Amino acid sequence: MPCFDKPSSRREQVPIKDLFELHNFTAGTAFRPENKAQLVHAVAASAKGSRSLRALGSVWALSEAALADNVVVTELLNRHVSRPFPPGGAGLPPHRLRDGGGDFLGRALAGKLAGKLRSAGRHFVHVEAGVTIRALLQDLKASGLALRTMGSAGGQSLAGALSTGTHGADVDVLPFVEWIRAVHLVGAGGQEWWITSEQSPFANEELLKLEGWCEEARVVANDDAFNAVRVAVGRMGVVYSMIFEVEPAYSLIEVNFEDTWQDVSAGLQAGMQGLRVGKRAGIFDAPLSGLEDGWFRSEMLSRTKTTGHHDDLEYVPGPRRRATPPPAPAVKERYRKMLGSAPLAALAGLADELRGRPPSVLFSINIALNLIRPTQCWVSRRWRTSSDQLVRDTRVKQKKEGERDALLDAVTKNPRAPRQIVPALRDRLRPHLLNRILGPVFKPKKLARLNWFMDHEIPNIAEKSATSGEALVLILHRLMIDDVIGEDSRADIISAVSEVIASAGFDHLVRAGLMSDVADTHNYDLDGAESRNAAEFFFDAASPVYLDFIEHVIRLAQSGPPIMGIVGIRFMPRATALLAMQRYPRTVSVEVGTGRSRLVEIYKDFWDGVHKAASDRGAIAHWGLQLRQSAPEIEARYGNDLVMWRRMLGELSIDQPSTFSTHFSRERGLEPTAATGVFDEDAVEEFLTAFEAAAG
Amino acid sequence: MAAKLAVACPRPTRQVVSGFPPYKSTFTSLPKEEQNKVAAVAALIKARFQRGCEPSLEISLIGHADRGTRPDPAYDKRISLERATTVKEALARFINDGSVLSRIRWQGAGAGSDSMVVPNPKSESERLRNRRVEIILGPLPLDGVVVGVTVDERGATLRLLIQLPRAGEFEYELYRNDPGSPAPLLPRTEWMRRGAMVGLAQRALGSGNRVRLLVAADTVQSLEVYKP
Repeated sequence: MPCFDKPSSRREQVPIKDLFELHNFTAGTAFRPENKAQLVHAVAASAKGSRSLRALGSVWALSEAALADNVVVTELLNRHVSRPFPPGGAGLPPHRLRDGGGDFLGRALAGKLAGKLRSAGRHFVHVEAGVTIRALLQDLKASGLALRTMGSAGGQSLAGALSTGTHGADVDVLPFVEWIRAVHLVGAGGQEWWITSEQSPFANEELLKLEGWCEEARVVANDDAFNAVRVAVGRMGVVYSMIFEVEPAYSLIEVNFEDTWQDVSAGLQAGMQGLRVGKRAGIFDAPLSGLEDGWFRSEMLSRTKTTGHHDDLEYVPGPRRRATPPPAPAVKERYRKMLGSAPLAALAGLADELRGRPPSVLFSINIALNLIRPTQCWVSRRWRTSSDQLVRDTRVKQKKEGERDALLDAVTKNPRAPRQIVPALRDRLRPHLLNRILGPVFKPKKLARLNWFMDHEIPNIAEKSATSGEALVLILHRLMIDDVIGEDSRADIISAVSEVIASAGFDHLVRAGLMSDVADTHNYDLDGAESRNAAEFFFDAASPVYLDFIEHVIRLAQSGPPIMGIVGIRFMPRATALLAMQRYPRTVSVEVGTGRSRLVEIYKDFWDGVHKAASDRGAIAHWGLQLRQSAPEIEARYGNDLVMWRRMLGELSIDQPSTFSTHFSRERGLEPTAATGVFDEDAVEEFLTAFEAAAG
Repeated sequence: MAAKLAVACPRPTRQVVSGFPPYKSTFTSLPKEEQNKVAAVAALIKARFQRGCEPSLEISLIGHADRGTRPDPAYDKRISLERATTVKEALARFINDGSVLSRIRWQGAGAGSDSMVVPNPKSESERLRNRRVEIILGPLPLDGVVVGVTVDERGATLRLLIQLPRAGEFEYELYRNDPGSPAPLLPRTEWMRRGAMVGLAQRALGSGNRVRLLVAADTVQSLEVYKP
């Protein structure tokens, strides 16, 4: 019998929009539980009505994984169930604790075990899974803690990020799902499950003292179940809470440089050779030994020019301008001076802090290739410090401070009022275009067309578009394919557009500070304004197949209309969760993202080509982004792991196998096999029934 | 293209050949229909060696005797074993295939007159039923009487006073609890099997009926309670 008391608030026929409005749908019922008992009630009620159900976190998934007849909005299930272990920092404010916050972690890890874990520097939090990663980061910061790894954005709910296998991008740190230590699942029919690993310290009688613990809940300490539930694409149920392993707060130092794809590709090739023999080479061989020498200084010096009477150095954002031989003493001095001067002045303090520290190996690397101009890349690298060597918060922008982006401001202020961005867009485009396509030569036909475009086409598209982001995409697309404006100057137009949209997300040269403040790079100001398509594919990083895939995507992007998009490249180790996409000892993810307009499908051929190329190369698609792979393809990618996952789904869905079955799960073969009852705690009853029958 | 024929794999079974005349143990002394039964079992054994079937690699034969008016257990034991040997040789002749015979492990035992189908025969036809050989397509079961059942935190065991194929009292596990912590989870079917095992053992202990056990690595694989 499920444990619930009163129903949660609910609304009927609720329109649901995802972040980029790719899969808008209407939920028959949207439950909004305020606590676990209400969540259980929502699941049980939906099952009773034979309606499929999915949890709705921050609606960031771009696949159809979240579509169901009913939804349960988990945003209010966002507090800590237990105080962090061991206690530290200023601690969490009362409003971040559920029912005052119990001490389950402290009790479960008592005695010798606690001592061992403390001395090993192990830290755990027990938190409701509706919390956003962004909020969790701030909670951790208050407790002097940090996540081990995370993706590049924190807007997702914890459960959403984990259920779709969203990953970290750290070269050596295990993916996000590998830091879960226990999962409290509200499964089919409202049955509660506490699932953890076989060696877990979190399966003991202390569970019974958890506030609101359901006597009917089943405790499963089984590796197969635990590996299955950690990435379950919502098919196993709604995760109420989880125990997550974290660590003492540490700092990240992030450096972003523009580069050429030619150089990056060569670095990736060399890096791949190194991965095969377990060595850091090529692009991965970038130890940070402070800011005044080594890798950082070399990269900076290759992007400087000489100015003024004293041959001062000035940083020039962009790809390397020249090779950098070891600098002469005079150059070193001028380099130091550059770090201490505007606009880089803040770097001097960071340089002081890092001076004398041993070199740090590269922690993560995130590469973005600009598809509209596929020679251009941005490479974001991060290094981490230990918890006792934190660095102060430092931000240094590529552009000089004060150079505000009026167009970005307009989009930010008017995410769903595209007409309001028209003046800023005109101001941005007109000088670029006049200079580039008209130049000193008067071309009346082009000028007339350009004026028509500015005065009529831009307002027209803005009027019809739902969001500022998609208006911008369609306007720039039309501009680039316009035969009159682009006649004999297509490259100039593309270049102008590229400058309008380029480098978003890489506008800092250096960001440093606590992991909780640096790791999340998402621009929340643009939420609701953007409209995108995105898919992500996972490959073996020690094989050249992924590079071949990227080259194919570049060729696709060059074979049709210019593509406003990026290819993102990140590296990570293998995960043990059965449906995790990280299936190689060194896994590389290749994300393809483009702008999108709902008025006109502008990149259909490109996307068809991308998905086909990925399939042809055996890529594994991200569960939470656009996913076109069929059930047989998914079976081929996951093999026996999928067989085991289905078996575990069967065991965790006893009697109610369809509660979380949706069109998405059926199309992808995420359906259960027959249950044996292995996790059924009515075992004693089974035993006695059989005994009585046999004993006559 | 010729249609592919489905392979029939006869399931392992138990057959009883009875009707030996008094003091006789030769194959030709068996009634004709009983001889045909042996031929049929031989054909079944051969069929299980076809491609796609699971062959019966162990075949056990238990011979039985009638109890004479002047009981002579030693004689009964000897003639019952002779009868088992006779039927084994007849089976081998009917099989007549070296590749099959070389893979079979034969086991034989003489139960004497301890397990009569008709304990107090009143007629010759009832005595004929007692003078028999059991053919078991599988390992030779342990035959005896349950004299104790124990259930504790380590698992469950039974003590069996064995009468066949060797005499003595032995203890066998019905199941063992895994000492791991937390204990691994067992499927519902395993809990049912355990309950049935202990239940049957309890029934055998209470009723005094005989049991046949199939045992592997000191653990009971199957338990049959029967009235001799």
